[in-house]
Amino acid sequence: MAELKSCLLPDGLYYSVENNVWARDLGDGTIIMGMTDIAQTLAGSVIHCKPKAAGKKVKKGKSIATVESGKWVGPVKSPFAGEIVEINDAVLSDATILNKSPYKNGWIVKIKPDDLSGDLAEMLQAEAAVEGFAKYMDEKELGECIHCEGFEG
Amino acid sequence: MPLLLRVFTHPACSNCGAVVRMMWEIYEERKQMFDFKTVKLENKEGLKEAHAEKIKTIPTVILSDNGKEVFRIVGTPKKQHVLELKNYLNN
Repeated sequence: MAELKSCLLPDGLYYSVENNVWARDLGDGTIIMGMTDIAQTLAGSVIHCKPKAAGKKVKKGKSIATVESGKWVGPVKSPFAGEIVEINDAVLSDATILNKSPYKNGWIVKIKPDDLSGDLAEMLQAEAAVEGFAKYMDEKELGECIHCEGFEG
Repeated sequence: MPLLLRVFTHPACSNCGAVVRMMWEIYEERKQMFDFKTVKLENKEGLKEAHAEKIKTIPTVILSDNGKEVFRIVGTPKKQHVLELKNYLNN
């Protein structure tokens, strides 16, 4: 588990710094993705998360969900082009799960990418992801991540 | 008043409300002894204050004496923490 200014970046995930999201390769041609710890800190307390419906096609760089927090409303953008095959119902009933467990219970959608290996190759892992996010946080002048008690990294 | 009790909270934190109430009750019993402040991390000022105090987990309770930290509880206070805090305030 890498840590950057108290923000957690678990090993084994793929990261898109520009979209501030992570993806886990499930090994069956699909991935699940969600917001990073940095993204959930930036958003603050998430009130609603509305993923696009399963079966919808998504383009690279386009929204897979709309997230509303106390201080921000905006899209979660996909680094993949493909089809949403499943959404996480848990985020519909309790969106604060994105704050509490961004990498585990707080995944947002499962996607079957059109070009899985190509899209994953454009994402960052491990040290490269830490470097990418370090630059991102410097540019945005972000401080440290702060977690609720019981936060799951 | 030199003593200040601060509770650092965030709306996404499910236990924070209970901790604020717990600390408020202590404050109500000893109002003349210290000041009380809830620091909300959903706004910039609150975040700045939390970073200055190197807060990494919320809720966190900090008691300071003339600006110097003398007591810190990270997470939901256990009975022992509350007793220690009350003892400090009573002495």
